[in-house]
Amino acid sequence: MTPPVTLNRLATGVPGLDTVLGGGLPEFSFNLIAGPPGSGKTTLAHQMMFALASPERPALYFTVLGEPALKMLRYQQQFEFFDADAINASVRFINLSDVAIGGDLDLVLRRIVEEVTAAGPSLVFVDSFRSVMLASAAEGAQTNQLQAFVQQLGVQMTSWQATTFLIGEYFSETESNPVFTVADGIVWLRQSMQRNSMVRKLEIMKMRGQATMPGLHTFRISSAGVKVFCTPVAKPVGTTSPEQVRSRLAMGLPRLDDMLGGGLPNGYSLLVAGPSGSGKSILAASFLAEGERRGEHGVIASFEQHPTRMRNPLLADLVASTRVSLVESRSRDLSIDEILLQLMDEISRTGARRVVIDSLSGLELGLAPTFRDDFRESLATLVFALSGEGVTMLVTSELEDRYTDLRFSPYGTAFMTDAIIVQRYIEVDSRLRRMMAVVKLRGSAHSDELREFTIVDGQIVIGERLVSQEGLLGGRPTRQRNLATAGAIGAKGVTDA
Amino acid sequence: MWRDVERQMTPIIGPRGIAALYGRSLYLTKRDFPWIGRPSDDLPETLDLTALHGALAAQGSALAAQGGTSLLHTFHALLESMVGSALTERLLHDVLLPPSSGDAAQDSGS
Repeated sequence: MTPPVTLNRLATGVPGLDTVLGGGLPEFSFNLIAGPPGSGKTTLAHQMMFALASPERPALYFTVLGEPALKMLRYQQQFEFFDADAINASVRFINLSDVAIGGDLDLVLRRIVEEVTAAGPSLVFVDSFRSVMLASAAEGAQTNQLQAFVQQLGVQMTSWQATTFLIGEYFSETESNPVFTVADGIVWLRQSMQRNSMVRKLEIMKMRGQATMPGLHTFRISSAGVKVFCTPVAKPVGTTSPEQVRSRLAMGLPRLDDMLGGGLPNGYSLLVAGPSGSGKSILAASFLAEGERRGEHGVIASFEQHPTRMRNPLLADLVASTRVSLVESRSRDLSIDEILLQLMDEISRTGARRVVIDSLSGLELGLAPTFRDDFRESLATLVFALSGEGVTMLVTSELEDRYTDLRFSPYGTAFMTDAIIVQRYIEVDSRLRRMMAVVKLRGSAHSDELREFTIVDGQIVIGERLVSQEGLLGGRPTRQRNLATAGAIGAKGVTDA
Repeated sequence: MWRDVERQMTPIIGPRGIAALYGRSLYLTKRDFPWIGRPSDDLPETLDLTALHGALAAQGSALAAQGGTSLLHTFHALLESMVGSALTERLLHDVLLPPSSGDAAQDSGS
């Protein structure tokens, strides 16, 4: 049996898009770029064209009745990918508005074929295709005529070995459009508004010959052009091996390491939950500082809304030393995909082994409202993807102190992480004191002690068990009458929230 | 010269696009050279130079050269204001502009 034809795949030059496409764009494919006005269709087309076009692989860009060509050139050159030197060299624009305005599809097709025959381009763009359809509708063209036009165009372009893009507006996804049947690939761009945030999403609805990444992928348009945030496929996290549990990371607090049974197992995710000001960020800084002492790079994702109050001095020094990378955002329209991609890039760039997310509450606030509804699901994506990378992760989470019920995590996230440390305030002798406990450490024995701790010079100092007090978890402990039974105090039997 | 401009630009912005830019250039040049003519009241489909040829022929050669050059420079400046100088040079690279006989007319009325 002869081997099947090899599809040559083109690198589109749009960050993230080739991955979503399943390895690039098949050469000689006939593609549709659809979406509402302002969704980035022309920008995406231009970005691909300037990336793909070369003297050996020239491009023809047909403008039909949509955006006037002069305006398109005016605005598109604001993007970094726009290369004025390529115009009239490897990239040629051809205006067909005069032909299209008559509504004669045969004439439009003939002109396209004439130009393609004369220039022999490897890439052909028709912008916008909707205007071709509207022009034909004005002439009362039947659907089958339009279908015949598209089919002819597809056949001609493929025969001329051109990779083709039809840029179209307003197509309804549910509409049975003949173009959809003929196209080899359909890239659908969307934008959703909720409150004051706008989120752009892209979907590959069809791509013949290859498996694409399903679903909606968020993207941004900046001065560099379109960037797609494709969620990396989480590597499967196997069951915890005894070796993994044996290999421990020091937290920078020897007493805490003791409470964890010798440190945090390598590759684990740890949730540090506690009320505001309890010392979660300080614990996170100490975790990163310990890594830095051991020559391990760290990454911290910070979502504080006030830059001046952003981080404690220890963390600021670590970031300044460049041994810890800071991924920060004060934006309010983030997607989990975007944050995850930034973290993954930083992890792979620096070889980081320790990652901190500070905090879940800040992250939730930074997400575009449209993503907040499935925050729990998004968090799971984040945690599992980072676990798949094998990094050890510390996530802080604000937890309102409630003395009437026991909670260890907001959003029901406790099950996602391998370990949980809870910090709480307690009142003893008319003083607000802090305590912490290890409530969960998957696959490993750990301390069940409630330990008091203080913050001295920006560092956590873990003290002893408060053996003389009972009812600590209620927030208002009382002095024990019989100290001999003090050993009974502990977190044993408490299950994850 | 205008035919060179037309040849270079029509494939990109279409005959109507060229005619519209030409009309705007006439309007801007008319303030310094009132005899040069005015944009057509209709929406022209193509570049029509008949009126320009007539207007230039009615002037002495020195003044006609001045007015004609100014019109070309105005068109060039107009294109530059839309797409920048790099792209304008790129689009009109075969069209050699005559040396300027003064500043291109600017629309100070807006």
